Amino acid sequence: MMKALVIIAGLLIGIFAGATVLLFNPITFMQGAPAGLSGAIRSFEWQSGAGHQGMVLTPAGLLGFGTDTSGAPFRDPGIRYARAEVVSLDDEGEGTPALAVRLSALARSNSLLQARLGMATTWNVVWPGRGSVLLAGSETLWTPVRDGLWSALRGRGFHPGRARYPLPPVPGFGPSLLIAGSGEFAAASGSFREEFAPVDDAPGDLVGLRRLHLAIE
Amino acid sequence: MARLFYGSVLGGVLLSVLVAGVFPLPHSQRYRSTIEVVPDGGREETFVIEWPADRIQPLRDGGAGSVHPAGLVAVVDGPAGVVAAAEVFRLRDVAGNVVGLASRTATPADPGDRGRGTRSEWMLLLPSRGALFLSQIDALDTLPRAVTGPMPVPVVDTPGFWAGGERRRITTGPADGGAGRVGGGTAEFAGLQGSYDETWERRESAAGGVNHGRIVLRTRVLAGP
Repeated sequence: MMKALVIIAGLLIGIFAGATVLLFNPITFMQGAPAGLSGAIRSFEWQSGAGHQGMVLTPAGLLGFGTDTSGAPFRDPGIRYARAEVVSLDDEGEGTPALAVRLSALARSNSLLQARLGMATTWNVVWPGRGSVLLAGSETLWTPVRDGLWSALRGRGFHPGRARYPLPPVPGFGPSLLIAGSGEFAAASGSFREEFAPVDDAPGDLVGLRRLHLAIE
Repeated sequence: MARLFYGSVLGGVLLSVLVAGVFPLPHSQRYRSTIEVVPDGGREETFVIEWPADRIQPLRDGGAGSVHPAGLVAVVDGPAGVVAAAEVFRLRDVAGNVVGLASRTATPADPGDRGRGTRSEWMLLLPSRGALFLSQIDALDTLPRAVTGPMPVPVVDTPGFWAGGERRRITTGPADGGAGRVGGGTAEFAGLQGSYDETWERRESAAGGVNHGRIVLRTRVLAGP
């Protein structure tokens, strides 16, 4: 009886220690600094709540067992882990609203051992009467998930602690780039990245309040 | 006893690493790609969208900021009355399998000339393969428009749109031969350039003015320089 208790206690402590080591995988500290943007940077804010269709962007959703109560999940096997959003991007500097479509899907290179938990993302941003840009990139959500789970383990609920999380590209995806443009952006090149800010009344939601930083050269 | 305890701890650590290594992270299913090799080099691949079945409206009723839903289309009103519209669809291969998501945005080709052609862009996201970006000049105005009430409807459901036939070629440039331009892509589509054609085909007109048909995107690509 005593032996069994020792084995169970040892296993539980070992599992907790192993999970902690995986959560704070040293790889994540190398992923933590997204590449800088060069060129004139424009920043746009948007947030969840205006609706989406497809997979829910939560820790459970990233692991494949999230249930979606806020949108309509896709049943088709080819897009079961994809997501579609239409958002309004308001440019604080100029006040011209842009219509943006954001399509995303779970990154195929996700790996718990390598601290990869992210999405491939594409954007089409249209400024009526001015032009448009097409963007392609990815985002790693490991750090906010890790901080949220650590918070939950301590009994505080899923509340990532930082005010803002820059989302670096998923390793192996390359930089997030402006692929093409039209109108006044026809000859533009550039890059972009997103930032995630947790929203208190939506714990677990990894859309939260987002900021899209777009650098155009 | 201490050896047993530390051995169990080590076993627990190894177990958690093992579980993390074999945990089945989800992936969208991949279907066999139906690609034809064209005689002068490159490859041709056709994608299909069935409407209205494949239309998706991600927006809730209240919209998002300046963007508001107009039926199954999302619209934003820009300066000087210039509008932009976005449609989102499920994307199929020629065998009818849903292989991805597609969005189509349209704006007037000339901001001061509503009613003639539009400029449109396609974003095709195939979760198992990557993304492909297309842009073109439309042969006609593809923006939604109001017919009987204030709510705009997709242009395929407006009276007179099909007067010219059950099959309409939408693309009229800017690439050679009046084709649209493949502007690049990611993952399997990275570095590809080429052209494409967009056609709309009506199969039947149902009650209430809602038509049934399909959009066909025929892409021809080869590796860029």
